This record gives sequence, C-alpha cells and structure tokens, in this order.
Amino acid sequence: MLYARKISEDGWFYKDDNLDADSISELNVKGHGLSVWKVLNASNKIDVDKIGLALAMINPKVEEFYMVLIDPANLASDYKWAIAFIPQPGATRYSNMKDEHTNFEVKSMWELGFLTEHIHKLIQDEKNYRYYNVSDLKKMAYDAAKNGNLTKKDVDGCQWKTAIKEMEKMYGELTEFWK
Amino acid sequence: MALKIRSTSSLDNLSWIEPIGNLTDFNDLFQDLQKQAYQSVDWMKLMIPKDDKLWHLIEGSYSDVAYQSLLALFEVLSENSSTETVIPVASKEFTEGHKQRFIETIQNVIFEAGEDNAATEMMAELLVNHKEELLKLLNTLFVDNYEDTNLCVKILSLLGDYSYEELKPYSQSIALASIANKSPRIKSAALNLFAHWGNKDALRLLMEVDEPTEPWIKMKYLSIKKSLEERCSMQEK
Repeated sequence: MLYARKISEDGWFYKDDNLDADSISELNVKGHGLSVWKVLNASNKIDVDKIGLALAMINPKVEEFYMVLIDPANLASDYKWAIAFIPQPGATRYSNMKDEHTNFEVKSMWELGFLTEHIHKLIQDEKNYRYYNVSDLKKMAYDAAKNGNLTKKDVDGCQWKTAIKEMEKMYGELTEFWK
Repeated sequence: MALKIRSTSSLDNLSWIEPIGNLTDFNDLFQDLQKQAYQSVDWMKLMIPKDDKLWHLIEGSYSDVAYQSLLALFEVLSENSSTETVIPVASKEFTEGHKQRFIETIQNVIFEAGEDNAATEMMAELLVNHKEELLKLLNTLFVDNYEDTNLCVKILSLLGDYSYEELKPYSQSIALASIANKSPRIKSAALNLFAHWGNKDALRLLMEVDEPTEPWIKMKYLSIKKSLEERCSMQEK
C-alpha cells in the first residue's frame, strides 16, 4: 500500500538539489505522528482521486495542491527504517474517508530527515506525485455528492458547498443530495 | 496644532465618534490608527479632534499614563503631518502619492492564497475611480520588475481576484508575459490565472503558449488545459 501526503509548491518544487529547510518544516510532526492517507491501489485513478478529495477537503476552501505517494517499503530498504503507524481518523470534511487516514510514526530528527530526503527523491519523477487544480476538485466533489459518497453535512458552511452548486449549473442539479 | 482639553458636562449623543467610541484599550486605539493609515484615508482628519467633547471622552476612557501618551502621540503626528501628504483613496485624481502608496503596500504585504490583504483591498478601492491608471501602473510595475519573482507573483495574485473581462487586456498581457518568465514560481502563478478565468478565451491563449519543460509545472499546465477543455465543451452543450 502507498501513502499520500500533501505537498506545496513553495515547500518542495522551487528548490535546487539541496535538501531545503522549508521542505523539512512542511513535514509537520505532532506527537511523533506525520499525517498520511492510505492509497489502496495507486494504479486505480478513482481510488487515488478519492484520497485527493479527502486531502483537499481538510481545507474549507477549494485550493490546488500536489500530493506525493510514499511507499514505506522503500524507506525500509533505503534507510533500514521499518515505519510504524499511529492510527487516527483524518480531519477531512469528507466524512466517508476519515478512516483512510493514519500517521507515520516519526520519532527523531534523523527519521524526519530520511523522510524529507525520500520525498525529495520521489518528486524528481512525476509518476510519484499528482496535481489537482481547482476545477478538478470541484468536479470531484460534485461527483462524490452525486454518487452518495459525500453528504450535505460534509459541505455545510464551507466553499465546497458553493463549488458543488457551481458544478450543478454545468452537470445537472443534485436534488437528492440537498434533501 | 495645539491641543486643548476642556471639560464639558454633556457627553450625550457622542456615538458618532468613531473609532474611538468602540475601543476598549490603548493598544486597540493604536491598531486602529495603523489600520486607518494603511487604508490611505486621511486618518489625521478623522482622529485629531476638532471638537473638545472628543477629548473629554478620551480623558474619561483611558488611564492617566495612557492618556498622556495619546496626547503626546497626537501632538507629534500633528506637527509631522500635513493634509497635502494625505491622499484619500476615493479622490478623483490618480496621483503620484496613490502610486507610491500602492507600490509600497504590494511590496510590504504578505500574500496568502485565497486571503484578502491590504493590497487586494486597496486595489478594489482604486479600481472604482482609477481603473485605467491602476492597470497601467500594474503593467509598468510588472515590466520594470520582471526579474523580481516575489513582486511579479504578487501582481498575478492581485489579478486573480478578477474575471477575464474585468481587467482585459492588461491581465492577459501580464499572464502571457509571465508564462515566458524563467522563474517557475511566476509561470505557476500565471497558470493559476488561466485556471481562474476558466473560459474559451483563456483556453485559446493557453493553447498558444509553449508547454513548460519543468515536469511539475508541465503537469499543472496539462491539468489546467484539460480542465479548461472539458469546461468549454460543457459550456457549448
């Protein structure tokens, strides 16, 4: 299984070959836990996009982002580091996906450094990361609402509600969703 | 300007005194003064009391030390301020002062994605009466600072608050020039503009620019192009 982690342009992509302090800072570890999302099948676009939407919906606003896919097996082979997990539901508004969240246990500065270096290597190859633009995310939210995966309560009081309404004008009204 | 303090027994009907009437402590007052100044409103006119009743209110609202400090502050500001140097945002003329204030604000403000700030607010105000002048200024500022990544990204971010038609053709010219910039940050910020416009014209322009070579910007470019194509095809149906 792979694990998805949101990464920012500023934190990772404008850098030269050196490991950048901004990149390390972005790996915000709390209680030795680094937030990641489970991707059951990375070759299945629907599975990956569900995680993409769950990650996006942590934010009340619809904003573009990049997501890197991490394989713990590679951390084990490259750094002799067998990743342990700290299970925890995700803080996403996408309630059906909360359980797809977990944490890597990152105990030391060295482990954080290994992880930063590993992600830095991963993003040198575009097959290891995905990009979601605002339009994609709005359509993904609309589709999730249409398929019954997203609830009206999930989008109350945030920009995602407006986004779904905007998509309804193009792709059809979701009468059942708003009931 | 000499400040006189007189006592008055009638403090009724003073609710018109703003913002002092809403302040709870001295720090709030300073923050409010700074905010007023940032908005390039003639805050001295608002804050330096012309009516003795206001001073009486201030006297009753703050501790002695705070009150004395406030008096001292107003005296210093009064001596150093002249109405000639204060430019109301809504004035009919777009002056050098406006330009300077706007440039300084853009340079000093930190931009957060999707958040309003002093620069976005000032731009919205200036666009009401000075649209052409402001857009020409942004264009000039962009060209003169084409190598300054931070400033160019800020300008692109400001333009991203408006639709394709609202700032045409300045926005489009700046976005197209940005795609050709060496800086990946500027290219990326320009792509956000095309995505934000989300119309056929945006797609037409995007199709005519060279595909970026950096893999992560290329991914973004292709993703935005694909979304625009889908969106335009839906709009035609």
